[in-house]
Amino acid sequence: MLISTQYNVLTRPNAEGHEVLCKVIVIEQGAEKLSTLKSFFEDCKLLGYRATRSNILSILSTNIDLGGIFIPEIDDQGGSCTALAIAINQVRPDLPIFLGIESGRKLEDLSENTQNAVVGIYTHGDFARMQELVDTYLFSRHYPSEFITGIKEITSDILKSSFKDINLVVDHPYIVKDKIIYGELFSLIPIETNWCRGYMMLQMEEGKIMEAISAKRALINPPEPNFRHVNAVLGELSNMIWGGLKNRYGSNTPENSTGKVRVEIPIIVNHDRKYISFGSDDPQLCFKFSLLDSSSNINPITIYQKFIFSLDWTPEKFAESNQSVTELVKGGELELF
Amino acid sequence: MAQVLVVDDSEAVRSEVSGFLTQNGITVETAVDGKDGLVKIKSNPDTKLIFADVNMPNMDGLTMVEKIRSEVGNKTVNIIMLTTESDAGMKERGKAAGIKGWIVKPFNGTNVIETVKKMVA
Repeated sequence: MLISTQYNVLTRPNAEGHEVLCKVIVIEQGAEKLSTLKSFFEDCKLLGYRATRSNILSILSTNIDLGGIFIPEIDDQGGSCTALAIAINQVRPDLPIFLGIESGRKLEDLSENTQNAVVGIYTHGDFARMQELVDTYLFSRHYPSEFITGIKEITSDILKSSFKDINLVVDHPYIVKDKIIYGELFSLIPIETNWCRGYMMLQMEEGKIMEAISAKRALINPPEPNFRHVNAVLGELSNMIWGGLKNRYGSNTPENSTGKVRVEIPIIVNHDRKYISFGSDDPQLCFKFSLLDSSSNINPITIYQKFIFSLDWTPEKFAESNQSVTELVKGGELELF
Repeated sequence: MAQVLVVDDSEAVRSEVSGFLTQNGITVETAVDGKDGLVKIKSNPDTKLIFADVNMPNMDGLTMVEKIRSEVGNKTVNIIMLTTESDAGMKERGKAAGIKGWIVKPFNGTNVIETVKKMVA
């Protein structure tokens, strides 16, 4: 976990291996309220971490895998925390903020800025309302337990077979609302089964993998390792995990219309090095667009549009659309039925 | 109660369409995907018009339209698809679900405002 142990753990609920948790931050709000929250968190499988008004922004800057934040409208010293809620929302707009209000207060009693900053309010002790918020904004999706167990098994087996002499530790799976990338290197590959479609990412730090390669503990053993070898390791890990998931869960994925196997190749991005690989040495077709302000009030905008057809390229089958020009509906026009 | 519901996963589109309609005196609510759209139409059954994208996460726009007509049982709200798609098959599916119109993006408010005003009247 990225949250430093110097910050107090409020709850660490008991959970089965397939149960999904969620890390939340709780702003200090008095022993009685914290005790109530603690019970609620344990029931809801929320990993609660205590923070203060003075250290919360620092905690947020070093933790990127959070689910949400519980803030009291008034802290135990009688001070308002709504400005803090607004500040947190500005730096982390993806993190839902749940505001605990005093009994008798309503949403309309809060300023418009506060209402916009929080996703919901609850009265301390109103467990039904708190549960509703948690179910809506955190645990809005149920993941089949066999699927969770399967992902862990498949990925763990591949990692153990890919790195020599390592001890593998697997945290409980957890929900994240942050959209922040960990490390400077990640792979991206579509995942498709007959019941779900989306993406898998593997995010990591380049230096750590490079160290393993240099120590001859990784998949490959090049004489002079460089960052491209790291990409190769990441690409192969992604491929093997994707294959494992497809073999176990994706037996009904559609083939394309030619009957060809539906190929997927992981995309590798190293944003620190501004590097992207589609797993192919084919050239990229590139268009450059420059948006220029004739009055020179704004700087020119350059957009590079690139195509890399690494998954399929059959130009002999290219054909213009059968629609005649007159049949095409121009963008922006309303076609009434 | 909002007169129009704009359903699109793009914040830019929601902002553009709702901004234009609001400037023309029309009350607007927004939804971020088809699932959210279903929730909003259930809580606001008097909505007169829905602008709906097709390609959205969680639930696409055509599925949302079909569910509005069947599961929610709202057969009266006018629905116009606002989408990058122009596929004839999708349009047929939309027509079968009772949509009133189809706009291929980008949105041009001037082209549609008179029709919109009639639909929300």
